[in-house]
Amino acid sequence: MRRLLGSAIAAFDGFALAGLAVAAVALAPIVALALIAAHGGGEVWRHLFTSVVPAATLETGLLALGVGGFVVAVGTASAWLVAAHDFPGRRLLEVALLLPLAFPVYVLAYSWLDLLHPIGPLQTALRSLLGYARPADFRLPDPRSLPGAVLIFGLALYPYVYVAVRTVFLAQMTTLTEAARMLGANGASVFFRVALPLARPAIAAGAALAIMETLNDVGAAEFLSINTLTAAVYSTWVNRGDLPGAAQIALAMLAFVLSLLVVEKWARGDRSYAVIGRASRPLAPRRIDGLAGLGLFALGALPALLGFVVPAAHLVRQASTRLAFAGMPQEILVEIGNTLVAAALATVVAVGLGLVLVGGRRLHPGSRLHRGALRVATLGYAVPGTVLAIGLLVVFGGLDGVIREAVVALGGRPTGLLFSASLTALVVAYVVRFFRLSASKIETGLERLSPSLDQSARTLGRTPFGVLREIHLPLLRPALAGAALLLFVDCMKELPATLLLRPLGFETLATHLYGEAARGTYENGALAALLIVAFGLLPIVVLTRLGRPAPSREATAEGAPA
Amino acid sequence: MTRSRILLSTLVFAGLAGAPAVAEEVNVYTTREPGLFAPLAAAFTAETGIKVNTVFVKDGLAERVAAEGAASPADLLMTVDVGNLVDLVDKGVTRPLKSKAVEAAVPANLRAADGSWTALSLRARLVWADKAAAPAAITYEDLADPKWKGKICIRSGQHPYNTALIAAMIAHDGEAKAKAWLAGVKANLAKKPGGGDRDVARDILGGLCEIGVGNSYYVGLMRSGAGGPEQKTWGDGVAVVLPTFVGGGTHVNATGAAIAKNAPNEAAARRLIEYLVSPAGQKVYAEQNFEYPITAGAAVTETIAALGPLKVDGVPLAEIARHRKAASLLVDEVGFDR
Amino acid sequence: MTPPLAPPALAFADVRHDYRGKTALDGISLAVRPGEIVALLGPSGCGKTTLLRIAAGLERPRAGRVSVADRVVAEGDVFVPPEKRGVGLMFQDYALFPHLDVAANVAFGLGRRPGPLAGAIVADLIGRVGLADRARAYPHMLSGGEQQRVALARAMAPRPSVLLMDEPFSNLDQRLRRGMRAELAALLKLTGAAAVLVTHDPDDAMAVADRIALMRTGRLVQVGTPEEIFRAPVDLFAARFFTDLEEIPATVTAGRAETPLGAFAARGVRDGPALVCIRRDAFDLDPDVAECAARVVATRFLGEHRSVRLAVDGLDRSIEAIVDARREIATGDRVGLSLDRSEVFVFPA
Repeated sequence: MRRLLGSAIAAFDGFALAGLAVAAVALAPIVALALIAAHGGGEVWRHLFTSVVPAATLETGLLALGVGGFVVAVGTASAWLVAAHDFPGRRLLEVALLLPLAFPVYVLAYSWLDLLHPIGPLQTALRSLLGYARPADFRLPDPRSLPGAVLIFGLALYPYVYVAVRTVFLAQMTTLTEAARMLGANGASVFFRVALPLARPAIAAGAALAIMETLNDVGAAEFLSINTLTAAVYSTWVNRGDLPGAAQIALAMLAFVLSLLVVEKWARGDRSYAVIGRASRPLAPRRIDGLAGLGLFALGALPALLGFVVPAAHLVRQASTRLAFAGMPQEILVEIGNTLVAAALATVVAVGLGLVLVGGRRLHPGSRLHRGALRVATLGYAVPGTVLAIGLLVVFGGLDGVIREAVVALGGRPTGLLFSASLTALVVAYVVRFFRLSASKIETGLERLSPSLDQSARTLGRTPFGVLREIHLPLLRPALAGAALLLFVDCMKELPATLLLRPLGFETLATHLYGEAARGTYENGALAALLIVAFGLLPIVVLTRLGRPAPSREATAEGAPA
Repeated sequence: MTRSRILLSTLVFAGLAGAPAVAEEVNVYTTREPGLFAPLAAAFTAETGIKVNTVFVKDGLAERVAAEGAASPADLLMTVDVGNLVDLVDKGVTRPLKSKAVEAAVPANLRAADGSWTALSLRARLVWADKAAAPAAITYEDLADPKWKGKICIRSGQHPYNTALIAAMIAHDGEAKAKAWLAGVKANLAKKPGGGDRDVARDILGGLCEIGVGNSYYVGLMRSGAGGPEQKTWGDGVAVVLPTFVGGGTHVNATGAAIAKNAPNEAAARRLIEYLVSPAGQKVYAEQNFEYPITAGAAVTETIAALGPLKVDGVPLAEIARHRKAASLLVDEVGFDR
Repeated sequence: MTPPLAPPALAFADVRHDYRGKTALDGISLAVRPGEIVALLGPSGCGKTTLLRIAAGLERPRAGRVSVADRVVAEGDVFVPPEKRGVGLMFQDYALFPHLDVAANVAFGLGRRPGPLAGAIVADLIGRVGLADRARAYPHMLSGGEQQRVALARAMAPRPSVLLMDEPFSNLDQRLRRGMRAELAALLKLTGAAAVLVTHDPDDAMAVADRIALMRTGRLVQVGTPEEIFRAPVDLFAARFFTDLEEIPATVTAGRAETPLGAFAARGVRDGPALVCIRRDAFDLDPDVAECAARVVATRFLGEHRSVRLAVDGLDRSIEAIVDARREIATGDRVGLSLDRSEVFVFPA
């Protein structure tokens, strides 16, 4: 114990201080939630846990299970389709399958609800085609149900699995596929006996991301009339003003997420799946032409069509109709400004702090203090946005109270709400929630830089901070840019925390959309939705650039195989 | 980095909190949609020259004002439901208003006896129906009748408009009967509760259900074309019936206002309330917002008048407000939203 | 000895292929007899790996015919995919399945539901390659040599009639290499499968192969037993490929080339400029009958041999001779030289 303390003190420096500060901020909402939940009256607790929580947990569980299954199936199958086969339009499909990433789940739900309504464009066209006059005579099933939700969430989230699995397939599958074929395995056999087992860690990771996004969502669940835990938390606060009640449900949610993470770790397994030997040549996929090839293209295109093309087209149509009817709403420019400002502030802070924490850890390898601080600081990603926001509301409310008492005690006028419902609160929420994104990207970038760079700089007289500034920073520029872009867009799309923490009168594109959908005036939100999707396309461009890994470049460099 | 920002924010806000009011103005904190209050504010400013600053607070109004304490700039607190208003009074963030004008204009059952709050406009909770299946008359109790099984659309039971209706049912028949009624309605639902009142019209047209429950002003908004051509088809496509309680009238909920406890511009706030209950103000409510005025003799707009004469239910709004919490618990117990 | 009328285990007939617009194979015809080991030898880019992949079915030739035993597997529209050819391939980077242990890797080619004999086959092969005690290990736990042996056992388990090997020794260090060469040759002979191995190392080829097919820029330069190619290289490239040479420019007149080291027969070589190529161990220092004189400029002890740098009158640069290490030679010595004519070749320049 003393040794632990001693080593902690030895490693303590500015970096450690920063790390501890960020870790404390990340932990504060969770601690606050626990405290406030404990405070709540027994009556409320009893009512919630008999009437509300069990059903919401069941619904959340079923949704998570369904979405998990869907994304694994569709994501893996799509990745296998484009990695192991060559057919007309394959290159296009590879990119197209990423497009649903541009749609946050609530925007996809919003679009499809509008599209699929019995008197919406799709069903009206279908009825005229089939010769039915009234909706009562012929009607597709209502998407506002659990199966409908599974489909919509799945369509928005399968790219998480698709990207992870495709990377594995492209990097590892070349000689392994050929080896399997040489040993007599046909296409299906290669998939089930070699490709799938190898992709298991990637599938687990992608599915976990998808399920966490599912748990985080508050808009889509509400639009689709699904009673998830998140919706229960939100509704308990908004409709009943019951903060302790909301906090209690929020804690139940956290337990749910923790169990999910445990399952993910188990599913990932502990086999070392590193590639043995180098990937010698790019995958030579099976060429399939003609009708079969076109069939494959059509099949593979289905998720991209349903997850992006069709809803995007609908949004464009709705937005243009709205613009024609009512002109450009003045608020939209303010909203865009608000969205950009909040996202930009959060991005700068998160990337800056990420550099400090990850850099600090690098400079003190083996320091448990630094490593622990970094670990805790990245916990925010696992906490659903609503839960985090409730926790922060409590923290900031308390902080405001403390400051107020202090100022009054010192004889000044009572201060009002300083942090609750301020831009600061929003930025803090974004940073805590998305910090992991920044930290992991910077970590990956830093790993590529050999420690001997650091060491030689130190022997040449640079301080640790100097190393960070003069060596790491310039070399990390691409990693930083990537992190900044992804973070920026995620902040722009964020809904649950924004709804609860924003300053009075502060609307972002996301909250505007939510408001219109909640009021049933779908068309009014189409422009905001379209803008969100447009911004969401940016990271996809980055992803496709990183999509095709090194092997193809090596092949061109070495020329034809000998 | 975060630390210096905190310091900066503290200084800025401390500075702002101390700034005195320069011109005549009144600060309104409201949970009403900004678009619905804006015409009233504009009309008031046109008549009196007093500037109206509107802050839209979606949730946690009471907590917000309480936390702001003595430094709160709020003058007038407006809500979409009297239950919320009573909450504010109970939390001690309001102060009573003694105004002869208000006492003269507003009926006694639509304001607090001690002047702590007053209603400003009414909206009725109506039944919308498929034109082919529209009943001539219907009671709220009827909604639980098995003949409507699988035919009802409604928004979330926890939404304030619905909890108010359920609270009114409790006030009429007691909690046990209200619970049974709620369970009966749940059994009749065509789909899970969700969406907004306008979705109900849309779903009826889409053949998902035959009847539904929605507020009167939405009918006005849709049918007038203010929401666009698509919403007009929804509004025109459904029939509207004014339901009643058995032995009672139509359930209404009211928007209302109260003066904030630490209002810096109390005089201006008083003038605003008095304007809102005056014929001029009530006219705006009726014509721009398609609501029912509260003052006797004030006219409703044509679209709303076409729905039929309104007979307001006798239970006082204050009493309904008392049962709100129980109503919310009932919704959970019956599993209405599941 | 296989009867001469049995169809070849693997045959290429005028196979052509190109890669990204450049010709990779320019009309290769080659037959591998059942049970024979053939090495495709050549420098990087000569097309040997492409030919191997075409034999495996991983590439489809632009023209020509490939047959396995009496079955055409690639010609025009006919194409048999790799999983149906009954041909085994051992990859340069081994391509072991990381999620399966050694036994499961070896058993992979025996089918999804291997029969009752499978266990015995797998155990037998694992034992033969000397990994009986590592059957439950995973690939990442094995050394390079061990991985190679697993790859070999795996390729052999389905008893293919032809076994293809892509640079089987390139990832092994020198010492391991020498041992593996012998083991591999022995194992292959045991199973009786025909084998084609691709390598850029002439020593590998000579240690293992019954015949060597020397390739350059997509063409076969010379095909023959190691001794045939070594003793009678068909051109300068073939000669250079196997050993280092001392190359002395000379002029051929009437079938003879004159050099300061002596005159050499140049049968079949046209008159004109030529290169007289001498293997470094062709030199005999201080023989009974010396053909010319030289002075030792430098010597170096190399363990099994001694390298001697000699200056010869008439040659503008020194030449290197490799002699027995036991010869005591010192710098500055004057020695007589004679050459073993069988190690000297004359090619047109």
